[in-house]
Amino acid sequence: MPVEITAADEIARCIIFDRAFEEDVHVDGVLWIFESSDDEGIYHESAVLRRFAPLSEDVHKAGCKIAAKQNARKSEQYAKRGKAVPDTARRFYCGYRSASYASLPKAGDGYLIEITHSPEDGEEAHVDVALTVTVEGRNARATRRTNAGLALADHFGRPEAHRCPCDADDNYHPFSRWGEKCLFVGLRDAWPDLHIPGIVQETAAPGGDDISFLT
Amino acid sequence: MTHIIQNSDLSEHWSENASSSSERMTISPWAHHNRLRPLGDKDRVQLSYARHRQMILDSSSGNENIRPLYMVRTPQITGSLSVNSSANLISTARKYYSAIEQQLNELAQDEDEGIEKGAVDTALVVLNRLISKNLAPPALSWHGGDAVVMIWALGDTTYAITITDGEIGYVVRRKREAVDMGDSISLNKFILSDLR
Repeated sequence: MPVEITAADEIARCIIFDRAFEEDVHVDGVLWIFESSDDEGIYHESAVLRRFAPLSEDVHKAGCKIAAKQNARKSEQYAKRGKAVPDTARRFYCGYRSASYASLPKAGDGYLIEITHSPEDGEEAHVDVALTVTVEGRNARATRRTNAGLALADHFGRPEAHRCPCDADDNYHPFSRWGEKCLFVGLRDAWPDLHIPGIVQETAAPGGDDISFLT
Repeated sequence: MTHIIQNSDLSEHWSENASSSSERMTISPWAHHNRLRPLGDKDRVQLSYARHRQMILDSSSGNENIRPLYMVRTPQITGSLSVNSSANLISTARKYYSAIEQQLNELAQDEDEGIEKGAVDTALVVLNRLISKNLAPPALSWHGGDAVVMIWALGDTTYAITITDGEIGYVVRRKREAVDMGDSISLNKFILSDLR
């Protein structure tokens, strides 16, 4: 039975490789990508309502199911072409990021975002994140999709990393290929404490004064 | 050590309607990953904004008003700096651009995530403009089957241009707000780095 999401609720977004990755790192810019629309032109993405998944383990189970479902769909698509899904194209659940429902943008210039509890496929905690673009024109609409995805991503916290038991021995899992750090090093908040060996003594670029280094 | 950059609001360079700013901005060191180019440990790169700027200066002529737009990923530096580092940077940037170009070409033919050819062709034109102006390579994304997105992330600021068939839109986000946005700009009117 769907419930009304309130300001007290928390929403989790599962990090699925390779969708939420730029090659070998997870980055904010691809946490929310509104890919396809329904018959009414509304774009849908999924999230998890923590009220029904209070433990990290609960979200991990949901994420693992999402990856499995996407892999099954991929297998069907490839099978139609007489091919197997390449190992590098398989989906892996890698963890999740949370945000307060109250903090999330519900509208912006040219778009509306509606977040509703929508249990589906036996997943009680499933949340539908529906994007309605209210402007016309192909590029105008695509630009709003980009902006809406970035706006949502701005509010999600650091990843809670997880490797599913079913992927434990899989050498193609991102954690096997690049280590668990692949979830963190691409995030914008990863840079402030960055130490850069080799250029510590550098002061400024020759011929200019618009760069400074602070210690 | 933290790097701070002044006077580098990329939005100034992105359209004829752009605003100016002298805010100080910070740089994320990992914003240039792209999907297709596998990175081994030996390819791990680090930020060197000064080197990127030097690269831009070295590759320009005259007294142009050049502001560095963004970092490039530079080869791992473990010891003293090479006197030839700007040349290395140019080489690195070229490799990235080649990888992005290849990625775009493959994207148009990808059976899973195919993007319509018009969007890819337009993105390739934009990419060539980026190259010709020695701007740092973007991260690449796409959505909806009709849009290619190029993203640069600079600390608390994100710049994204969304490219569809023959048209370009852009958004500049800072501190969780869209501070500048435009769309449906025809390819021949979209201006990059006009201050040069």
